[in-house]
Amino acid sequence: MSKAEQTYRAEELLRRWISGDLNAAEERELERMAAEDPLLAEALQGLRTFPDRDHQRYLQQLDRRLRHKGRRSTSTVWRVAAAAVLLLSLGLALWIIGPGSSPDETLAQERAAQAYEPEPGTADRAEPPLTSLPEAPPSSPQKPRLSPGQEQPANSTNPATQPGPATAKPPATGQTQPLLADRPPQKRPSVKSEPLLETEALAEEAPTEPSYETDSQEDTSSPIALSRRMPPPPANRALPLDEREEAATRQEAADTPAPLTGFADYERFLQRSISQAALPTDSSFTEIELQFTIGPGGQPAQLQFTDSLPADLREKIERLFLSGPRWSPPGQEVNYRFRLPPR
Amino acid sequence: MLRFFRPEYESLTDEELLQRYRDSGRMPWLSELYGRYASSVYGMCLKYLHNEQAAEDAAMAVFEQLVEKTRQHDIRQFRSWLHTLAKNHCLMQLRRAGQQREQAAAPDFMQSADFMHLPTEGADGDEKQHWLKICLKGLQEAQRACVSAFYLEGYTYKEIAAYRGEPLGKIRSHIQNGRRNLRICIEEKQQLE
Repeated sequence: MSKAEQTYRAEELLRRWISGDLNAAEERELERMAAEDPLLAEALQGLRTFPDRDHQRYLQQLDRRLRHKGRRSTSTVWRVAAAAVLLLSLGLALWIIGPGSSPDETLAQERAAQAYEPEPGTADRAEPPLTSLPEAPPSSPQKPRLSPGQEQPANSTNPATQPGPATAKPPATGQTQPLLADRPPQKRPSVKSEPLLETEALAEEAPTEPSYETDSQEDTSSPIALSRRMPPPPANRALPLDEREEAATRQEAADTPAPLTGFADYERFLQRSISQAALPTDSSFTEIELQFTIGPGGQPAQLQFTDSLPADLREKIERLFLSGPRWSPPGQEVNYRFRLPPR
Repeated sequence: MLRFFRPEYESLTDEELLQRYRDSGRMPWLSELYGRYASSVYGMCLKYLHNEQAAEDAAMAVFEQLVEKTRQHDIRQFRSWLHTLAKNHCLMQLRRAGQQREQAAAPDFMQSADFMHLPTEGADGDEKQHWLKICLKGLQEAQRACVSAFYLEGYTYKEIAAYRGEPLGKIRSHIQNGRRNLRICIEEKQQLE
């Protein structure tokens, strides 16, 4: 056996001693080699000074560190090359796809740009002329729902009452749409023609109420949405005719009954509070409609359900309305419909 | 397929690996070369530093020194040169920490083969065998069982550890202490005669 082979054999025996795979005969061989090898002798002495320690673990760590160090210089070249290839591939893919949008998107953007382009005489107005906005289809599920007989004026010039892209978005999560349905006009003149959006806009202007502008689903690019964030004009200011009409509309909307927390939060409150156990087993029974009067303190009173409900669900909903968020203004009668949470 | 691209590390001598590292500057050659002796360097550093983590760090630091020094020095015998380099590094570590100890040979340091093994070899082997049987009975149970299994029955450390359900280090400790006690016992018996 050559000297190099003896050295390698000694190192192999030392590794096996550390891992515990040595028997007495092999250990004797290792010790004989250590008698002639100063490095091996010192190593064995050091290891036997601490026989109960887990030297294998430290050597494995050392091996990992060595391999990492050994690989690092060469692997860096490959990493840089791989990154360059990846970037080139990505750039090529983007170039093939192209920076533009689909033809439909491009057309829609052009139409939107034309629609929002201010006319020369109205450049200083906050809202673009809404008459140029495309109207939502009548059957759109996102359009605010109104009770029968509560129709919007078709050619209304009031931005807040004009249905359009911005009004098509539901105020809350999109799962539910609170319905503020009126009683017949002779009973409830104050809310007879107010759409839901106007009610929301009014609610946002109250400083203590949660704002719908925080809703992540709100379309902030809409001119309607922008107008809703504008502060109301001062009451003592001499207003132009259009603004006076708008102020009158706002004042009229102030009489629209609404929860102080806003419809979206109220709907969430109901959805969260109705326990699964109280839900009816009939899967087609998904909405609740009820009427109530806003009491002097803002609490709903005199609740009347349109449909017959299971007793436990009815009691649960009554408790929620009586103990839940308050409404305003007092004295108003409200038709309210909301969706039950999914089972 | 990957094996085709893998360098033939194992078939190369220390000097060939060293030369390839010097020629190419590629770390895997040096890493492979040092890896052959990393256990010895760790054990030697443990002897000086008396701490496993410090020994591991020192062994790693020695490797980092190799990166430059193997190019600067004319190395004929890599292993001897590495021994000197590692020892100097450990002594420097102790000097910096002000902890240099007198590295006198420990009383049970095994430079001679008969010290490291059961004291049954040599010219008076039959007499030692006699005392061995007597002294073996005087050992603690764990030491006696481990020493018997290792020296008389030929089991490895790991096999004994698995059989007894004890950590490997504990078995090593039992055997090492049992062997020392046996040696002391036999020497006392021989002196009494």
